[in-house]
Amino acid sequence: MKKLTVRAERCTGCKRCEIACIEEHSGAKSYGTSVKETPAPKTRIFVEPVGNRPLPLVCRHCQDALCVSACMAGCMQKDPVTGVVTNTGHEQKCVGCWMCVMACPYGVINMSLDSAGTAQAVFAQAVKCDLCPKRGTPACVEACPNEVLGVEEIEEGVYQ
Amino acid sequence: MKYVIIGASAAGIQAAQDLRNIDGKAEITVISKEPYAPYSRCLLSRFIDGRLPESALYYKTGDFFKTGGIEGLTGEKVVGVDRFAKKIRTDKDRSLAYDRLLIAAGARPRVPSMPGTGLEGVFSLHGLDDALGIIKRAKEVKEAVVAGAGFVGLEAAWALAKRGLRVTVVEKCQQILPNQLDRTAGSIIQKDLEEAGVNFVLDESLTEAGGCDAIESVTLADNSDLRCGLLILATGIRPETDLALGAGLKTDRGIIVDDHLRTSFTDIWAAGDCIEIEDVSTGRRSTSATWFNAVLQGKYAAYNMAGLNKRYTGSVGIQNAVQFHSLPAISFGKTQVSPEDGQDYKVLSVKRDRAYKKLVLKGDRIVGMIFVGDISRSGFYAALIRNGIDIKVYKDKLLDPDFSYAHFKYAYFKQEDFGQYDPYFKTAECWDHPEWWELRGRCMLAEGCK
Amino acid sequence: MDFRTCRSAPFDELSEAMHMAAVGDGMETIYERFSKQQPQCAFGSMGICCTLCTDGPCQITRKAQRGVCGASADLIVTRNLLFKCAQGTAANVYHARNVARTLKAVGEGKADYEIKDEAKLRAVAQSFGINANAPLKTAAKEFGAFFIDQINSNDYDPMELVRALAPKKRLAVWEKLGIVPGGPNSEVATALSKSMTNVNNDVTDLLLHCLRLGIANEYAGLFGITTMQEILTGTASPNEGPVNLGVLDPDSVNIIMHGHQPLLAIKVLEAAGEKKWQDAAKKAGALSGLKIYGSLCEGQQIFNIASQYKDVFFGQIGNWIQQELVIATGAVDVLAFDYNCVMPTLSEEFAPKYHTKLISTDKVIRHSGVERLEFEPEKAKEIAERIIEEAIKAFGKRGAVNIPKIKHNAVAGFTTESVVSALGGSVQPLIDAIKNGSVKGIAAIVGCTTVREFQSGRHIAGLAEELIKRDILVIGAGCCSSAMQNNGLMSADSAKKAGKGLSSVCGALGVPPCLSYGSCTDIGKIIATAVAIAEALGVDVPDLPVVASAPEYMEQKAVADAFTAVAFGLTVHLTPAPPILGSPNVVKILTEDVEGLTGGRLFVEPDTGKAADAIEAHIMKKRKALGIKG
Repeated sequence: MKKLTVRAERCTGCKRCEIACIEEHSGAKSYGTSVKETPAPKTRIFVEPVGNRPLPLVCRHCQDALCVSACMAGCMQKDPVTGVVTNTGHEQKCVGCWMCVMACPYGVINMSLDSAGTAQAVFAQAVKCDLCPKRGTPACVEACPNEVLGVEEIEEGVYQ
Repeated sequence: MKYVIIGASAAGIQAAQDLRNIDGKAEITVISKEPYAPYSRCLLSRFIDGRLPESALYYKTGDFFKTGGIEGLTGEKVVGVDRFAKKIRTDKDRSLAYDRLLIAAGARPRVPSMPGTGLEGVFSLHGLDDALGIIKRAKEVKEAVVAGAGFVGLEAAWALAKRGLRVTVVEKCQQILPNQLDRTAGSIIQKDLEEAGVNFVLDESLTEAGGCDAIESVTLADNSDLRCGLLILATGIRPETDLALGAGLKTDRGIIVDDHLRTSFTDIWAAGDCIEIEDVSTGRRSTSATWFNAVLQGKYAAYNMAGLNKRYTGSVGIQNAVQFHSLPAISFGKTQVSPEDGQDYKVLSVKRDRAYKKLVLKGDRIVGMIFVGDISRSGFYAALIRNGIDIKVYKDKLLDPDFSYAHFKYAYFKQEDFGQYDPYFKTAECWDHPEWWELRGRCMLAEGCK
Repeated sequence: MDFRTCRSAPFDELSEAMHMAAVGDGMETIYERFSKQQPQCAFGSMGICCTLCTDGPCQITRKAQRGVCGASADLIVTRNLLFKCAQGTAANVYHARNVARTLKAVGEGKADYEIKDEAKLRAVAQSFGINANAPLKTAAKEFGAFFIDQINSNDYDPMELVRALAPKKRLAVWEKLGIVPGGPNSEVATALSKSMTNVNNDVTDLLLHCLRLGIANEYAGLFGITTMQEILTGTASPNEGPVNLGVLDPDSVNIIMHGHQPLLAIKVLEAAGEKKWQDAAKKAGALSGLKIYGSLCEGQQIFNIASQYKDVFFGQIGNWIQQELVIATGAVDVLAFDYNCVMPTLSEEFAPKYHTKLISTDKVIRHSGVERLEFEPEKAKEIAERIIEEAIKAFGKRGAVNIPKIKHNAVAGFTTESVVSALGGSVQPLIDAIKNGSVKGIAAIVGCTTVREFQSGRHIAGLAEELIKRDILVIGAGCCSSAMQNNGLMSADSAKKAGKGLSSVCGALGVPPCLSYGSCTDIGKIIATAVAIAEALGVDVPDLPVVASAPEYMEQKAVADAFTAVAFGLTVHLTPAPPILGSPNVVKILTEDVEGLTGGRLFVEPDTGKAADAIEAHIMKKRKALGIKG
């Protein structure tokens, strides 16, 4: 199953991965115009500071994902073949209940709209890493200038 | 092996699914008193206000039972369990034998003992039948009253307000969501709902529902009246313990289970809204009526029923993710501290406009949280609570905007817990080094830091 | 500090109290902004991000070893560094020009300032061929004009200022390296041209140019500023006064003079002493009348000469990081600022919230929406009185006032002359103390305070405290002085925190073990003191048991000052690491090779204990080389 790997010592905190993620999940595929879309696409990878050191937080597409258990709409599912955990592409649609946001121990599930925008007719949904199903290599991995992110085939149940 | 599961909601269906994944050959039967395919009762309010069609309530695909080779008996109620003969009896006089039984019978709504609750137009909001009734009635009336400003009551009120009814919520406590939130958070959410057109009468209770055949008004304890054509009773739920009592199992408020979801008698497990189990945030037993708890309990019940001895820990009774109008809110664990709780507790909070964050600490561990407005990373804090992680060194940082899982880079869960994987296994040691500011140039641009 | 648990938060308790108060009022301070900016991009912080041209922005990465134009990491780092050094030099020279202009105007009878230090004026004038017997006014006019000419001269004509004033041994070193600078503005213009896209790629040349700018920074900048200011304001003399955020009086009209240029502040202090203004303040409801305070380097300079203004000057309120917290007390009626180190949030967020009237007093520091009363020597008194008027008007508009209750004092007013005077007229007693080991050496802890590396004064105060324990005399300047003052290291009884030797020397002299030289421009005076000691010992500056430290440097003047120190042969401790880590070659040049050229070098050490160890080790090494017993 494909998983993202991180070589944290190479990360500079430049956040090109976040921008690439936003672009990939937007209509316009260009950061400048993406941010004007509604909802403005959100990043699904997070470069978080520990003190002053950057550490990218990535979704691990867990074998027994808590977000899948928490989902009360049935839309968050783990694909038995690819192993990708995502709430898109299924018959059941995300209702924006935020149970998965509350369940993920790594805090890597985002909301598609900030609270300020959520009173609108379009309701907010949970967004998370989907390992870029429309691309060969995930957008963040390709965008990283310093070879921090990688994607590898890793057998589940047998970890380092 | 023959598994029988009573209840086809969160716990029951998850248990069925996991049992089938573990044991491809076992016989699995699920019995549900509701005549519907498995549906998510948490989505009912979104069905009532029109955001979701009925089809969206069915959170498993239509062929769930068929693909899993599971016998699904819907519209049939279990009326008795004989724990010695290992048989259950249904209201259609069917008798089913079991090797291992899971009671996932859920809970039933509390109905206040006051006159008039039998009138037409008075509903609980627990199942799909209630929702269908409410929708029909809501088309015919202009005013509604909701008794109870808990989770269900507010969802109902919000849904009805969106349908254009004039809604008043009557709550006996002095704040909304009295079990989940504190006064501060409660008043923020209340204002948000008031902006959306919901009215509140707090510190009040209903004494009577009045009308001829159908409801026309409700009377409050201060003797005033509220006109309404629709009344929703959302004054709490009670775990379904009748079957357990009849079967001679130990119960209190709910069916008592241990940390392997076993009841007091062999070969019978219980999971979901009907149980009572130790709550890691209070250290005491509590009921655990949330979807997430039910699913995890169904999972672990299945593991244990199938002979994989797995301990279930980290049940937390209060856990809710909610968004009514414009503000999301998450509450988890022991969210309020009272003087009787003693000295060991400390509250940290930060409030800026409508964004409010509060953490309740006991000693060096977080036991409760309330996030309103900005709920990013709440799962990380919830996990700190669930796992009782020692956060002593981070006490001052807990509510800083830059505090995140990154501070715990090396997973604090055991691999076995839910099979999560460590993406940092390739990271060089120098990232942790105190002199990393000097080493980073070497690591970042070339190989070979030492 | 453990990088995991450190927080962006103030170091001293008064700042923390005001920080919490400001946050409680819904304000966002520098601490919150710093947290939000994390993690900061390492391409930038290591100096390997170049944004000069439209083919960029480029970074040197694992995938790309050169920018689009072909610049290597070494070149990008050095260009960026030269640019910052040029900015810092230009800023100090700008300040010096303002002072020279005022001195000239005084000489021409157009500006109403006294010549307070006659001897100094005559001495310096004489070095430049101005007649020793000319009337004072003539000397002032001619020296002011001469200085301005020097600033305006060409970079290909070495400055007379350098030729006349530089110690002989230093001048020889600089001539050998070919770095004797010409007119500083011309030097800066050349530096800017050199650091453009596709111009210079000789890293050594660019770094040598930084050293040129460092020397120009000293003579056409710092020296000019301090000398001419002292002529007009008087020279520092030791005095005790209140410091930190608790100094404000809720019952007085409060004016804070903030920035680096004290000439206008002198006029405000003089006017405030007049009965008519004190009465006007009382009439407006201020029971205690009218009080003036200083903030930042301007505050340090006024503090140095506060003996002259005891009735109106009521304290040095704080350093760069604290300026928002000062306004959040709600008790500041006017904050008048000149360049530099004023946060944009003062005018955009804090003053509107807390009633304070802001006034900008220099053309270089305009803020949108802020009234300009720009200093001209001829109009100084007029502007000063306008400032007082505005303050009295603003007094009536106060909202809630929240002043921390804790008060503390510190002693300031040290500089070459007053130290020599405290020593009895010559540096010999100090040299004797160094020789007999009761004072091991001297550390100059100078420069800014920063929130970077989560310091906010911790590193400064921690380092000073550690060094005095090891009998190393500490001299402070700039916001570093403020950090030491805020943490009790410059108080009258602080000698007891020092080691045995140092505390007995300081006790005997009646001075604290950390001596405040004043503003960051007084780094020039520190260098002058070092030069004086070197000449007394008959050695060159690099041989002295002396270290310079900028433990929390923040801005561009500090970069220029660091190169000044290195040009003078001083070993300089810096934190945070300057943006050079992206080029191991430049790191090696600045931390090792340059020692062989000028005798000075840089080293970085963010850990307080290790920095103290390194500083002590260097001092002991120099003692040994001089043949002084350990």
